[in-house]
Amino acid sequence: MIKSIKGGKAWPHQNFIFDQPIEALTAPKSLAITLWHGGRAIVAKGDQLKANAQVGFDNTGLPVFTGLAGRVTGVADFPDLVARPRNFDFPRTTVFIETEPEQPAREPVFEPCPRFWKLSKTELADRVFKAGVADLRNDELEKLLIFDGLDLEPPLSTNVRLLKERPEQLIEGMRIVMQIHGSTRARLVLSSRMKALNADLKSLLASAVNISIEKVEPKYPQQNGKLIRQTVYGSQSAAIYGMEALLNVRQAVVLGQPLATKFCTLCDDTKGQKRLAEVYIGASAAETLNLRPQDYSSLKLISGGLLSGTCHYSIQLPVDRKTAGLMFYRNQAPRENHPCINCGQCLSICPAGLAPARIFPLVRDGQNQELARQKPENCLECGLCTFICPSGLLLSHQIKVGKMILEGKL
Amino acid sequence: MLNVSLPPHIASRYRLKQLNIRRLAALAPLVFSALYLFGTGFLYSLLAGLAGSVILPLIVKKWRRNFLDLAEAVFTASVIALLMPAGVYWYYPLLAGVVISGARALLSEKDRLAPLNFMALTFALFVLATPEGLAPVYHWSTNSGGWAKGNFYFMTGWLPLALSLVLLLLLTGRLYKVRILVFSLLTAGIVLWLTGQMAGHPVTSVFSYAGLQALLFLSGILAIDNHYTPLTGWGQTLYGLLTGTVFALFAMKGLLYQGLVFSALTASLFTPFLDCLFTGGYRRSKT
Repeated sequence: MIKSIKGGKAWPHQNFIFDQPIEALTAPKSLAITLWHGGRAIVAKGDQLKANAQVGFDNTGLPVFTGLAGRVTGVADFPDLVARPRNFDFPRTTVFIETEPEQPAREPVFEPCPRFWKLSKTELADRVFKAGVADLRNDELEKLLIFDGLDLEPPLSTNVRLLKERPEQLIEGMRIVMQIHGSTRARLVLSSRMKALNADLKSLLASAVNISIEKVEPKYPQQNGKLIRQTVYGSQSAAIYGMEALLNVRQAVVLGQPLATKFCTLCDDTKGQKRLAEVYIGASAAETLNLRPQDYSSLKLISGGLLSGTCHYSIQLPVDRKTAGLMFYRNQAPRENHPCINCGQCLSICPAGLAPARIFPLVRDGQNQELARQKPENCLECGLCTFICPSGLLLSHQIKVGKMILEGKL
Repeated sequence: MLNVSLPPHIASRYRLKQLNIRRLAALAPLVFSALYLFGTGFLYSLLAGLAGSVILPLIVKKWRRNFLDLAEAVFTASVIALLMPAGVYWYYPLLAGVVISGARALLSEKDRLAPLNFMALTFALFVLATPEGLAPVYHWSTNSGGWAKGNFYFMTGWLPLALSLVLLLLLTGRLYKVRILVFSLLTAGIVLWLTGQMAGHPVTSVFSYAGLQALLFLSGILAIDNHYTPLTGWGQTLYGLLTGTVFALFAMKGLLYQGLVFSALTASLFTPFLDCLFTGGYRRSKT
């Protein structure tokens, strides 16, 4: 049976890039590897680094690596570069590296282990941690697993493309993750529209009795953690892994490679290009999208998808481990901002069952008691209410403000 | 430096400006057929309604070349003119336009104009003030379908009305509150049929072509008048039920025009209540 959510929106196939192969890595001239706000660098200016060398620890304590050999040109705070409503930045500790023109092959930092099933749960989790992928060294990991093979927010398409190109490697990744979690049950969530992919994976997973395929209607924001858990396992808690995370786990354990690259959806509206590529973490948007420094005041640089991605104000924005996509878009006409016409579209599209049209005036007028009754904390911040509003009201932003007011942050 | 904005970075194709143009385009068949059938009588009514709809907002809001206000005024004037009895004095639509658009202009800074449907209120006052003037209305001519001339400017027959409604449905897409149309038609039909069954003779005879045309006009136009109609699906369903019931009760007494006006007025009074009822716990959140 195909499962679905209430509300949400299914975008047509042509909004994605499922039919293009993922382009191979190209080495940029420089890297700006972010360790986030509170991270710690273990290299200093002038240090010569090999490919896959560790440069520091991020704010969560995970090791961070460089994918390319080069010389450290500086360690400094780098502005957050996110456009924020109040224009405040969280400077991020960043390691700047000038890469070498000739790059040697990336040597594994750990001994490759193709027979991963011989390793214990602790050894596997240790490898995954040391490769900078995730900290799974916890005894109380969820037993139920969800492998998210959905791409629902246009134009992000890497999950589906990885499933098409590297299914065997992903299945290995799934097995490793299940071993780490001590899990006996996992579901691979796929779009019900991808019939060929469903059939291919079903045959590949025939021997894996504890991994089953769950077909869902491809409605954004079904991928949201709360919704996908609800759809797949009801009210039970479960851990969710994207396809790229599985590939990174597999690379760390089987190949001994640390996390140093990222799969990105790259779009350049000025050239009419849409592509998928593997990019070195730390590469700038300018180099990744081949942008030249000039006046871009009528354009937008978006990191993430078109619904939830954030705008940035410099083309020097580096790719980090969370960058799912980089989009260089022509600026749309400014949003109209008319009074609400009571059309009710925001209510019917909201996957969390909220009434954005009612929350909007409550936040504006400071009616906090009534606002609390509307439960804005349930908002998934998917942005669909703002997308659909014919009056052009920034409903999702107003709900975020409402959440902050109720949390006492404003 | 790049341009920055808050997410989302794309927007739905349904914009308010386009919605207004589409509403006007959809009403065009009805307006042109009324012009064709009633000639100068309807033209004067339309122009007077337009003048009335434009004058007060012009004074109150100083009209800063606001296309939306103009489109709203043209739509309001068209509906006012269509709702008028044939051969009405020119100052009736003028006054109606002034009152309706004036009330809207004064309250437009508010987000929501509900509960009072000013158009229905104005026409209700008109009905109460001129009971003699509406006397011929009690004996509406039964139109035979297609092109026909009735006692009101909107009585132009099946064809233009159906075309306008189909255009409204197609052009305004999901912004059209189709539940209101469906449930008001269903309820009115069921109430009249049941009453007929209980009385032992077909009460539906009063619900002739003219009655159905009035109800179609009422619910068809109401369904796109978002200001006075509920937000939620359930709210719209109840609104449709209420409109249909009130209309049917009036129709049983032969008061079709009164039913048309008072059902819209009554139902719109319940809009805030229906909104509160279904948006407080509109849909139980799964998250």
